[in-house]
Amino acid sequence: MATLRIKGLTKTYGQLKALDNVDLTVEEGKLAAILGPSGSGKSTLVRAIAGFVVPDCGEIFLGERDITHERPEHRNTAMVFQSYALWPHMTVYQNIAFGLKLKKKTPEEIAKKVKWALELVDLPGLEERLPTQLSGGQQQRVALARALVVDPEILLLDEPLSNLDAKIRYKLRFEIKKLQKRLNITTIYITHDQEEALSIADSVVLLKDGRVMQAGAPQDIYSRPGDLFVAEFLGASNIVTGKTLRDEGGLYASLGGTRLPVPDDKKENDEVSLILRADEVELTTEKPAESEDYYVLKGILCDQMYLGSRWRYEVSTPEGHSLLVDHDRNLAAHSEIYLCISRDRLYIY
Amino acid sequence: MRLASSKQASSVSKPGKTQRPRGRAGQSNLSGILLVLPALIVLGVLYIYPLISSIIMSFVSEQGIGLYNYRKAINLYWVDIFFTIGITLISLAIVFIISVAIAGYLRFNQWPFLNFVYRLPLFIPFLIAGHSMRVFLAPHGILNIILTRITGIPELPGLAFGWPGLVIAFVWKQFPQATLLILGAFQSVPDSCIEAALNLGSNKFRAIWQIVLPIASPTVLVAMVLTFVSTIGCLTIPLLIGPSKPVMLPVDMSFRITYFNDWGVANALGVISYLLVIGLSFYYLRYMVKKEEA
Amino acid sequence: MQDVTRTNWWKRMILRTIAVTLIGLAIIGPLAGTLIWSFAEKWYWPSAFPQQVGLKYWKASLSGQSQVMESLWVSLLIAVIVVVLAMLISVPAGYALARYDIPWKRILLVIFLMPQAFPQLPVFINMTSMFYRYNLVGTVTGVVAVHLVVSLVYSVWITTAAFKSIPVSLEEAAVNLGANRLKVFFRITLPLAAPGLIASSIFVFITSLDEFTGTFFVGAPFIQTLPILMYTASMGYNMQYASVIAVLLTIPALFFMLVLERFLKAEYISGLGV
Repeated sequence: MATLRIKGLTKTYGQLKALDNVDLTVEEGKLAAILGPSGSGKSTLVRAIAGFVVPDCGEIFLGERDITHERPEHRNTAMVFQSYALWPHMTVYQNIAFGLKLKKKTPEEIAKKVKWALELVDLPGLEERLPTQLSGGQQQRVALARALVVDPEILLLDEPLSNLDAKIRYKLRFEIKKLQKRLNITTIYITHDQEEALSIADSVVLLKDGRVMQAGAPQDIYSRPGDLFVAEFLGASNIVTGKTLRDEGGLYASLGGTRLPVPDDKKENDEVSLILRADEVELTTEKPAESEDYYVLKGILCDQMYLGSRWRYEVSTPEGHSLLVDHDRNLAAHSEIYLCISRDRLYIY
Repeated sequence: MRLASSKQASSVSKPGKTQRPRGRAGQSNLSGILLVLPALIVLGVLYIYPLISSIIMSFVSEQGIGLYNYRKAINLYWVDIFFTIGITLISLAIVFIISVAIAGYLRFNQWPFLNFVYRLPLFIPFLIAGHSMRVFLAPHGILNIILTRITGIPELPGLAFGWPGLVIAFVWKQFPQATLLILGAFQSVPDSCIEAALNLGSNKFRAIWQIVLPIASPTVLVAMVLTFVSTIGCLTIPLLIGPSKPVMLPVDMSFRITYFNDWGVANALGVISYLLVIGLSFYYLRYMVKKEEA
Repeated sequence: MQDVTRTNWWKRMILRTIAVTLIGLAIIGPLAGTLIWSFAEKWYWPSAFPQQVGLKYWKASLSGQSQVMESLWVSLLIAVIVVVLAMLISVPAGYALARYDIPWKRILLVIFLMPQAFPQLPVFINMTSMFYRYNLVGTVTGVVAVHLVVSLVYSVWITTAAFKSIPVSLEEAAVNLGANRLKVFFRITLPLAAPGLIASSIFVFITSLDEFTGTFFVGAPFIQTLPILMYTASMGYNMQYASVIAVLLTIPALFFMLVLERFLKAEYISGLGV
């Protein structure tokens, strides 16, 4: 187990900057989720840590060891691949034992260790199966066992669950989390699924075009997105763009007939984006009292959709924008309503 | 032309995905057979018939029907039979090592020079390969001209007209085809399978030997069978560069006809070479069946 | 730091140079030797280069009345006839194998492969004895027959692949508009398959041009194709003439094969999947 520190990591492919001056620290025993859309450089990052990509500049430290230019086979990292990458000609036992054999363990030690690993991932008794005889979820567990059995200093998971169907994905996600805590192993978890990242990680790192956009604890990053991209990527249901306005009170933006403050760097007639999540808005038919804690927006219900546990309404504002808002009761269409939103839940960029 | 042929390449390179012919079943079965028939007749008359008659005639001699030709063939040529097997297996082993080495290197590294130059002998017919080796490996050939200059030794023995020259010529002609096939198979092993091995502490050599080669083994076996067959049946290279004693079986067959007019023994030798090929293919088939069952 | 990378660079360059030299010598050396011999008028041991270089043997070989020219015409004539015959029987066969539900299709394709994947010599010997009965030994007809068998695998397999690559829907669209089967074949399918058919013809042409063993038995002693002439010259230590013919035979093969290189690769690999 060791702390991973990355400083100024850069990698370019021709014109494309896959990694652009990436700094990252993952404390010993913590799980960091690298989140980003495809092409954001998250795979390049994890492959640089494993040693399959040679960075143009920057440093990677594992504990006190500088591994930037170490060969992949000497790094003592263990990677779990999106495609599992189980060797089809070897049994489950042989797959898991491969790394141990390379470490010159005795047959008894290997047998003991493999048994331990298979119990760890809850697959005892499958030693003699071939990978093709296993389900996708089982294959991913074997891949996990193969990685963990060599006692790596860091575990690298490259979109480990994205080839599985939703139900198994959900289950395995928590098992991975539990295992990681139990073994107290430093882990990098690559994913493009924001829910997965938020639910599993000790810290989330958001990548875009090879740059770190924001990093922090899941709650922080979710409740205080640093910019439009982060907010959008973390699942905002409403993004409204408009122009800034000016009156005697200064610059402002208008939504639902309410005056909203704009960032200081804006000028008149600049574009401004307002972001709010459908489930963070209170919907009422009575006009609520004015308050310092929340904004009140006005609108008209124009459409609705039943989601099972709640209803989702489309609300159009006097400015002509339409917002999606969740509410647990059925309301009459075309009625005038009010939206209450906590001041720190309305993001303005 | 180039563009069109590459389009074709992409369509034929996926044998698993050939779509089942739609429609046209039932009644057109017959017209399909009629269309194939001319080609089949040509093949039947000009290939299958001589093939079968070579087997039948191998049992016919002045002594009547029996194993006389075989006894004579083995008495006269048992040394050559072992020589043929030996040369073929040695060539096969060297071809295997060279092509796995080149394919393994090119799997990890881009080297356009090597990638281009190794294919050259593929386009050279056996006859010209044999002649070129004769020029190259003769006692006063090009190789010795170079070697005498480098080493300073005034006279060196030629490699032609002995078994080393024969092996060199076979390997030179045969390794490109094997390499081409094996490299193709190596490249279809996913990167992640190799990276998983490196990641767990394996070096590249071991990753090739224990991961890539076993996964690619069906194609590697095909490459080896093809190499074996074309080596054991080749007449030109042994004629042009082989020793005069012992010789390879095709040379014996040819001499049996041209000098002795002895068709029975020639056919017996032919059937023996069939059996050698079938023997090897049998191992191949058994391996494939085992793999299917697993 | 700078110094380390520089020495590393030098080390790698030196290793590369040695590797290129050795690989080049091993692979190109024999071919280069043949090429030099074709221009050598005098070359006595142990000189590194011919004492006298010139076009003497090329001129002698390529002058109108020479044996080489005679053989060249015979070879070309045979190759052209073989291409025409092979295409005449392979285009229908390839079309049927690509489009129709023929029983034992895979086995049929493997049977066409057999002449290339099984020892040929015994078959040639028995073909010769069969041809004696019909007075075909030593005739162009006999040699054409041998070449046809040897090249059939290329023509059948490549035409099959060519027809398979054309989506059935293109034909069905034409039928749908009222064209009859024959018209569809000649107006739609054949033009689309043309590149593949040309590739297949080239393979057949080169195979026929280079064929030696079958010709050696069936053609002897009257049909002297270029390979036969080259063999005779090489065995008789007529190194210059043999080398001139070797170069003559290599140029078209090398040229066409390089053009078709991509095609060849896929063909080899997919062919094994049958």
